[in-house]
Amino acid sequence: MKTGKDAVLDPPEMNMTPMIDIVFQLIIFFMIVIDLSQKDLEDLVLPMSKMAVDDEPEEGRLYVNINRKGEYVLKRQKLDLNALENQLMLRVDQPRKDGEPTRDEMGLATRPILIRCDQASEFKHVQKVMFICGKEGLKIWKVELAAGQESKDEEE
Amino acid sequence: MANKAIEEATEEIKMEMTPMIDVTFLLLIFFLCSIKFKVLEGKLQTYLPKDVGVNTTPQQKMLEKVDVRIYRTLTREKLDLEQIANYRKWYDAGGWKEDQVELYFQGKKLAGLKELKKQLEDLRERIPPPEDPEEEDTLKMNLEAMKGCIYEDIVKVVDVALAAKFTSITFRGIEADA
Repeated sequence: MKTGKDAVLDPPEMNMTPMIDIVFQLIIFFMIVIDLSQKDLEDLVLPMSKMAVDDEPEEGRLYVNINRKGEYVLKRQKLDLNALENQLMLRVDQPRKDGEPTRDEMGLATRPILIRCDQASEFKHVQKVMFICGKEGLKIWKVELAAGQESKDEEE
Repeated sequence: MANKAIEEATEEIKMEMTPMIDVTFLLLIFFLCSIKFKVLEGKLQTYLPKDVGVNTTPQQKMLEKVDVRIYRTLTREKLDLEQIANYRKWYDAGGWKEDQVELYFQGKKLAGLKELKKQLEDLRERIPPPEDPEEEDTLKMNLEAMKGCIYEDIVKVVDVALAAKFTSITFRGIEADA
């Protein structure tokens, strides 16, 4: 047992365990918060497709979800067609994080749009979104249709 | 005094387990949260026509157009909302089946997706795709989804068309709201 002078001169030891605890807690907290902020993808049942390619999202891609009831959902918000058009108008020309221009030389949007539609939703809803995409002011021509990837080996 | 020193020297060193378990659990939670399961979601890449300004490119090649029409067998005759709702229940119970749709190829009724595939492949054999992928495909498919068709119907047909190496698929018409 150290007493008197010895104890005073001893350098104080830092207990690292609670600090590591807190650091990990913070990491987990931020990871969960980031996950919650990814609201682009609705929980839908997508149809399976053998020809669907791997989804490698381009920077700044726009998303539209169409649920089974035929409602348009953008960032967890249910919108009617007019509101959807307005929202897309607002987003399509927002500066891209990768510094690329938002329009090409023909004035077409460089951003693609991913349409995620429930397998049992009517196709006319997808067509309506496509129609909006072609409108003046939007001119989104890269349209991606979401589908589940089915193995090509599986024969029906 | 000497006895005490010997006792201290021979005393077993105890490891403090609590912080280690704490950290282990935290690591476990961290990795559980950070695992990303393989995303099986894919996409079908499509492009809308770039009809901007006047098209000055001379139309040198003759285009061959193929019309494919899809009807839903259940909703074809009478389409009211109640029927659609009932249909959905039926659909949800059994999933998509080929007999839920009627396919027409150039106005002629087909037996199913296999026949459509054969027709498209035969046509593709006659008119091969351009060697340069940038070049315009002269074989085009017009896909017309009739009232009541669902997204899965279209994906199945597009799948067949892509498998038959059709690269130019146009979706025709938007029906008026019921």
